Amino acid sequence: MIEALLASLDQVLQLQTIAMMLLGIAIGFLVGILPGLGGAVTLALMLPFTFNMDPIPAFALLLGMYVVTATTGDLTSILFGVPGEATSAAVVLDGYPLTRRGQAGRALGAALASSAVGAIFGAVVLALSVPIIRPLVLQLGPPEFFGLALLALTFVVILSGRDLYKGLIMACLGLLVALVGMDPVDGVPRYTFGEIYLWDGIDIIPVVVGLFGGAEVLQLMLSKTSVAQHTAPSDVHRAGTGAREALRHWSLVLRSSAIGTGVGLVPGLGGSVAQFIAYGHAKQISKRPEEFGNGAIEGVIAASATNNAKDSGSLIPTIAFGIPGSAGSAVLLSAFLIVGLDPGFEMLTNDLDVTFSMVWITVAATLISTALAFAVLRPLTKLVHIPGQTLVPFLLLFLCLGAYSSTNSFGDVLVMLAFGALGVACIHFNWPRVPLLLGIVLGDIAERYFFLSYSLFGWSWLTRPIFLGIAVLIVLALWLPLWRERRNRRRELSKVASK
Amino acid sequence: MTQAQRTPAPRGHAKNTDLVITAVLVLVFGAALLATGAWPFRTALFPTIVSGVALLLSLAHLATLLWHRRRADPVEPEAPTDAADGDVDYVFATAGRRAWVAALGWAAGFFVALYLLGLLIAAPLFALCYLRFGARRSWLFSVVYAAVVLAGIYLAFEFVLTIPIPTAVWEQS
Repeated sequence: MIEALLASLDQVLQLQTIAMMLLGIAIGFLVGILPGLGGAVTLALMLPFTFNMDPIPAFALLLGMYVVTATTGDLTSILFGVPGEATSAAVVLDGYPLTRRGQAGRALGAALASSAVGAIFGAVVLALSVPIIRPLVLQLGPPEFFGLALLALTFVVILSGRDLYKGLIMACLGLLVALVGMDPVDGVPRYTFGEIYLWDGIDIIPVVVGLFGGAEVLQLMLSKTSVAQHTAPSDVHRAGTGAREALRHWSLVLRSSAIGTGVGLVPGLGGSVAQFIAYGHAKQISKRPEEFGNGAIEGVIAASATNNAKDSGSLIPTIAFGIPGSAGSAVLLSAFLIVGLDPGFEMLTNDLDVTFSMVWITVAATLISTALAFAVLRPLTKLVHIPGQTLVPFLLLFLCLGAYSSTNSFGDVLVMLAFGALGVACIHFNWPRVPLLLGIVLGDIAERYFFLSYSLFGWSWLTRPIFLGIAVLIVLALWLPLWRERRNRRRELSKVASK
Repeated sequence: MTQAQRTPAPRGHAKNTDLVITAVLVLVFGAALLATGAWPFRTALFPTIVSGVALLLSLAHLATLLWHRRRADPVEPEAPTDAADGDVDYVFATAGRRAWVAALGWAAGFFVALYLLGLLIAAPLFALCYLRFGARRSWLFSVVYAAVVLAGIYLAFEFVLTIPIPTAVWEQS
């Protein structure tokens, strides 16, 4: 194994491989910053260029682009409140409030540092776990995957704050939205109202772009001020402070990276889920949970650390048994086949150097892109002092392109507008947006595994041990905040009584 | 130019809107549940469970709100928020009606122009008009900005990436 590691490093350090990686990083930087132009879509667009390449330079191009998009997607989340990637939505929750307080540099520094650590963590786990992960994942069946989807939703509902009812209702609404379209089993249209456009369901990209980006753009139009309200000089020097804070919260970074890798490992759950689980976990263990949603640096750290870690995590089932862990890794699987690689036994034995080259490429691309991002932080943070209205045409253009690019249909722009209006209404009337988003993300997955569980086991799947363990976690996750709130209320009442 | 200032709505008003929204959601989830009756069993199984649970939760929430309203529970003080200018919810709550109409009008104008004229014309046209007449920037700034937008879209999407962009309605047929 050590020989394969060193052999792969030698191949990664070849000029052609480095050139391809740098090109991939440049493209990834641009793609990550542009809302809606997802890493998976761009991977698919770049695939044809890899037809005549050797495997390692091909993956240097593809992976170099893919691992950077998660990092740079967080930059627009923090600076503009518009997720650069669908998987960067959680960073908006605390990154953007920090920007509005004039602490963009601090947020960016923390995000970049934790993202870099997450990437390296994920790459190390990828290297160590490839030979041993197979028996573990094979223990999980559809009931367990369904349980994990519910667990992810539960964490998100907890994020909806004090009103659990609202969070649960919005999560259910999100699940229903996800069910719009043709039923995958019988091909019956559901909730389509006779519209053919809805037969394919509602795509997640216009939803994310509208739900989070629409409200922020409208707010800029209304407030007539800059994104950062303080007129202090650019605080980019605080990027170092942010990076040091991320390293001070090293245990949170590592735990979030582990969550990202673990969730990425499970096929189909996706990056949004990983971010929100890590975010929910960070809020639960924080000594100041009330700060979450208003600029808690721990929220930024937790959300950013998961992004790159989950990319490496999703590579594990892809390489080990040809089961893509995410949309992006599904496209990478196609790349494997294009360059003549067979996932599974071959990639863990004869082609182990190619597998390990992905580890080195992930690490190298992350370090280079992090350094590059720190280098351009000053002009990036200066952007937030531009009057908000000046950015409006630019951001509206991004919203529109982001929504349209998913299926090249104007219907997606209308969906983006509808969810933008919904996002504004949620903010104005104090209903949570995040459970709605995650319900939409998880709806398809949850139904698929639910139906598979029922088909395979009848209702006896409800008594499977691992599923029961996950169910206990779900109950605890819902009960703990209620218990904590009642305990705090009793304390307040006793304080008042003693006065 | 300053915004017309309004104080945020009182807590009772917030409860009333929660009541209305929850009542609407009860109707939505009820309709969703009813719709599942027309589908085959396997098609309807998951939507039935989700809409059923959602309906129960909404009814429970509605009952809770009505109960608190009937008891005329004392108004809980709002949790302290960062009320500095610029917080999204604060901006939404305090922006005047004129500002709302103007902002929504500009946004609607952009998307109507997008549908009718396509992105290549709508984006620079909107940039020019909005910056000049909405944001009160100078003609020079607005024209240069619009030109950069036009060049950026053309070079990036038509020339380099060759990714489809929204076209005018007459080009779609």
